[in-house]
Amino acid sequence: MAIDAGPMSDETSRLATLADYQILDTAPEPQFDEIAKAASLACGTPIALISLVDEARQWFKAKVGLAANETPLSQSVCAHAVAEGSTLVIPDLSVDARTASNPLVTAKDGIRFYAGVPLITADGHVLGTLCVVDTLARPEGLDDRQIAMLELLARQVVLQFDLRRELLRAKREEVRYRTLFDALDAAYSVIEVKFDENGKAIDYRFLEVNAAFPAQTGLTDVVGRWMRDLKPDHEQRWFDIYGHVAMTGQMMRFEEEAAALGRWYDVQAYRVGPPEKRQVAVLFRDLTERRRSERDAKDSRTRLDLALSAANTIGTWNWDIPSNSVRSDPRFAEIFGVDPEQAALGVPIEQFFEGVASEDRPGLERQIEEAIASGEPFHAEYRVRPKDGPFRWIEAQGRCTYDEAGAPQSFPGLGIDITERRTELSRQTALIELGDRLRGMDDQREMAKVAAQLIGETLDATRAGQGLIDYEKETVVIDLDWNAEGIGSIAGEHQFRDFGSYIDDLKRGRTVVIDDVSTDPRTRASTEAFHAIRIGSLVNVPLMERGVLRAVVLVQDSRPRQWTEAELFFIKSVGDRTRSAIVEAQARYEQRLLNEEMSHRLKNSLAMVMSIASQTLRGGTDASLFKAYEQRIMALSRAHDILLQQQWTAARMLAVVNQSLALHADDGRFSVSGSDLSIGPKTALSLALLLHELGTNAIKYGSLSNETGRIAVSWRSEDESGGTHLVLDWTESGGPAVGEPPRRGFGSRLIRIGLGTGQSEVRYEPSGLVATFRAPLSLVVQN
Amino acid sequence: MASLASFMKPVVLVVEDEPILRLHAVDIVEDAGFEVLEASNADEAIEILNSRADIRVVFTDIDMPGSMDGIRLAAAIRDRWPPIELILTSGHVKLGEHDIPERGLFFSKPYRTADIQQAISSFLRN
Repeated sequence: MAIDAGPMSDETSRLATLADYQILDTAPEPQFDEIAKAASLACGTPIALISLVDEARQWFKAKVGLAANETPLSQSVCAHAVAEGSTLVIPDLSVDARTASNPLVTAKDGIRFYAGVPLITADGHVLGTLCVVDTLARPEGLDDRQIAMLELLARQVVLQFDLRRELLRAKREEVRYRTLFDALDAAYSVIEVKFDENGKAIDYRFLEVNAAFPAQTGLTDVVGRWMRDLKPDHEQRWFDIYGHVAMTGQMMRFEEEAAALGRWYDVQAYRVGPPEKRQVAVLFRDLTERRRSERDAKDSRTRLDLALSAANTIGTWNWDIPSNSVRSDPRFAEIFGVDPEQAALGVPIEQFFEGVASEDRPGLERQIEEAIASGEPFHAEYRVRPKDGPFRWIEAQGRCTYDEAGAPQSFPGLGIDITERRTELSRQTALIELGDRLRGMDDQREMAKVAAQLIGETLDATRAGQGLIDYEKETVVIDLDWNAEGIGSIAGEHQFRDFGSYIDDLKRGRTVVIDDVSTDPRTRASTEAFHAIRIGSLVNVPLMERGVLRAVVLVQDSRPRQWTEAELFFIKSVGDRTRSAIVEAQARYEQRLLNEEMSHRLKNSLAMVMSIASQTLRGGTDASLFKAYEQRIMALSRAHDILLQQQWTAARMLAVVNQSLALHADDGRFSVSGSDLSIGPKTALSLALLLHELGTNAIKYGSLSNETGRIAVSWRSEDESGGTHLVLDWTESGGPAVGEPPRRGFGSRLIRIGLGTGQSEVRYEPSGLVATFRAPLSLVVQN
Repeated sequence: MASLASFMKPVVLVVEDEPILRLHAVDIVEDAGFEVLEASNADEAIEILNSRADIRVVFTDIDMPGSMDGIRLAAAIRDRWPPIELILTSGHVKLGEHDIPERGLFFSKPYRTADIQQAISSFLRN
């Protein structure tokens, strides 16, 4: 029989609700059996049922007085009650049109009385009925009390259904939850934390653990046991952390080592249940392996770093030329002042160029262009200046690659820091340059200036100079200083105590190295004073004289800076060399003053001698005697002049010859040949007097006595038995015929003495006088 | 004055602090036929120059004690008596260019008699 159960959707919904209770075809349950029993007793019927109307059948969850578990829907009376949706009482089924033909009714000893109350859920669906049935017709039906009782029991059935369903759901959740936690590779446990009377967590007990727990901890059968019993050495901090979570309810996530378990864990802990239970759920994972592999990775990364830094490699780059995008290692980018994160993604090459020292940039750009054009390996050395800190020297190597069409594609390469090598080289070059420049300099101020500039430029400092110290007043006077561009001079007098206490170290002769004036204990209280004159870091090298501080070499940088040993050594070297050069120059200067004074007095004396001779010979015999005398004194005086130029240590041969001859004749009358050499002062005087006598004689009798004669003076060195000799020839020509003079005067004797130490030979040739003088070269040079 | 001066021997003032050297210098000038005046320092020389208008040449030593050395004397003369010619001498080998006044001549000591006489004569000829 069909049930008009309204639209299909309602019936479908009803059936779905029924299915949701998961009650069809389940085993009998006492609470339902007892309700059925109660209904039977209350109504005095032999049969009572909890009947559920399924799609094609009615199924009895509980039954009293009936053997069957279910009947086809065609035999169901309950279906009518379900369709009615309200309590249905049929006193005699055999006469009711709806049921008269029902086989259960027509059967022998068939049923005659029916009373059913629909089981209606909270959302209005009718699942079936609680009904009572009798085999005898009951014309009187049920009394009001019985109906009320039946309806109350029917509501109880639905409540029990709902409760049952909730339990099922909860159980299902529980199963799902258990399945989930057991399926985790992470360990899960619920613990109960125990505190001492001071509120300190001292132990915890496992209430529950998941399947992964043993594998993650190495502990088995832990539920109900205390951690201190399982692992007495378990670190206290674990108890502290769980105690904190239990007390505060704060969720914690952390990584921690459990040494007693020999493992590292990533742990999440949160409070569960009511606070007073002090229960904590702990979800954790063994990190030991990951840690190890991380450490291994870190080790290998460190090794790589070490290998790279050992070769001073800064990093690598790759320039994608079509898109003009340079990607580089973070370190490489940083040195150029390029943001490492951007460099990892790629930036235009111009950004890298900006970090290159401006003076090196054009050359670098040209070299890159050439490498792209030629396909040859690229190699360049240039300076970059990181944002803070001194410039670095970079050696870059790379090579351009091309596509099939020959268009440049990419330009990968490698950067090496060669700062140390380059700066060491530049420091050495600077020291050599210093020596060259100081040599022969006399002005102390100029020398100090050269040294300051050299130190400043070589070390890329911002200020360098020297200062003279007043030990008692503790002041320094900086005469002049070298300053980098944009840095002002601090020439003038300064009080050391205005700049902290480092004067104490200088007084003890210690070099003062302050990397950062704002942190060094000797200077930090005076940071403002330093910054006001652009000093961020400094080096002061004391120059002591007989144990007392006299001067300092000072080098400064406007930024904090770590001064290296090599730099300090360089500063000291420059300081020492400059100092000794200044001392030498001072000695030279004093020597020259002394020589000049001596020469002055000597020449005044010669003038006096001349004056006295003039007075002595005046009015006497021959005026020519005084003249000859005067000439000889003049020759001697000229020789002194020449000797003075070399501080009386030596004279140049050529100068002596030329000046001596100049007293007697014009340039056109004589020729001079011979390689210039340094001769001793005694030889110089002898030579001057010798040439004077020869010249005087030539004017009187020889080739200078007419208008056309000439004199040739030449010299050479000759190897003889007694060693190397200087040989000087005086050759006259074009003069009148000459003969040996009748009288041997002083002049002749001077000529015979010659160069003072050797032989002399004078011949009167038809062409004129020829004289040759020899002297051992060693004596010529020494005397 | 000019007509009177043309009769007379030209006057040369010798300034030298050392008497023996001054003696020799005076001889050299006199032997050349000029009238000589002597001063032993710059102050005396200035006094004489203030009192006489006929001095044509001053022949002075440079290294002299007193308020003025020969260089400063020469400068003062060039300033106050521009027509007077100047001859300087010193035991020092050489002087800086700027130390010798305009038209001045310098002879290092000891000097040759002939050189001094020629220098004075050349001045007076011009």
